[in-house]
Amino acid sequence: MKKICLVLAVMALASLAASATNINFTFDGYCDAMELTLTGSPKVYLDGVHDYSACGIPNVLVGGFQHTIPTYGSFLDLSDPSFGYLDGLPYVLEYLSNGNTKQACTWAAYIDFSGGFDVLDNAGTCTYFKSLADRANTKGLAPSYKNANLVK
Amino acid sequence: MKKTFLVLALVALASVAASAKNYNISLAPYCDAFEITTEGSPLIYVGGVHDYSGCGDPSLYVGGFRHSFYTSIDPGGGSTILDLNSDPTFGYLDGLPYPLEFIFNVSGQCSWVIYADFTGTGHIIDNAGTCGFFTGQHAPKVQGTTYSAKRNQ
Repeated sequence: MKKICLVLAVMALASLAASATNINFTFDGYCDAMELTLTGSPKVYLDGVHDYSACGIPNVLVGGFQHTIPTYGSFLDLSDPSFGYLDGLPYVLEYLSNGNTKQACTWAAYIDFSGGFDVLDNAGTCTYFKSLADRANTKGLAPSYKNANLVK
Repeated sequence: MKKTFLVLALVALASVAASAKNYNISLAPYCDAFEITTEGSPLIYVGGVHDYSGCGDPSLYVGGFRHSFYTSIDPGGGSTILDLNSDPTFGYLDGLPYPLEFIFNVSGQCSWVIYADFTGTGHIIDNAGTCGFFTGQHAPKVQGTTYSAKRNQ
């Protein structure tokens, strides 16, 4: 009986490990990056770090879901506390990325400055990396959420 | 020609107005509430205010999308949810670097669930409950000052 339980536990652990997918990308032209993990069954839970180490500011944790938005398709949808934590501003910051699709990496950041609706703050392309050693040197660039045209 | 454009503009405006829907949501027994609106065609944009006036704290802006999802994500069993993905409560009110996401099911019995990530290793349920709808600018005053998002974990 113990042996069966052990086998089942090992199988469960192996299944969990197999189901996790790491998705790391830098924002092209900006200093920050996302290091994310997609887990669950179905694989919809998203969590990780918004890595600002190359920007010289503290990292923040991010979380969210992979889901579909009508007419737009399947996305990684991330909740990001950067405005509140780093800038002391009561604004929403939401990142969407197609990093789940294995296609050319793109991203968009939505913000709500007014209590109305999310507006597109910034968007661009991104570059996947497997380990921190592979990551491009982005020191000296600005963080992706600081779109000078919109951030007040 | 001008008349045609005027008619088209009026039709477009009427369409936008018809599609917008307001939800004023009380999270009682917690002191906070939401005043949010869905808009767009399709009806996917959600925006508004996380109202902390009943808690004695500043209110915050919230935004996100309305979309369908697995019913397992929402303890209330909603398949179409209002997903206020990025609530700045932890960062702005508590000075904590944690993401906070509110999900509402408003299609039947109003229910809500909060997901947060306190470690960078899991987007987990932080709190959940049922809710009620109210009219007027602010939710009826609730005794106590505890708000729905459980911080300091």
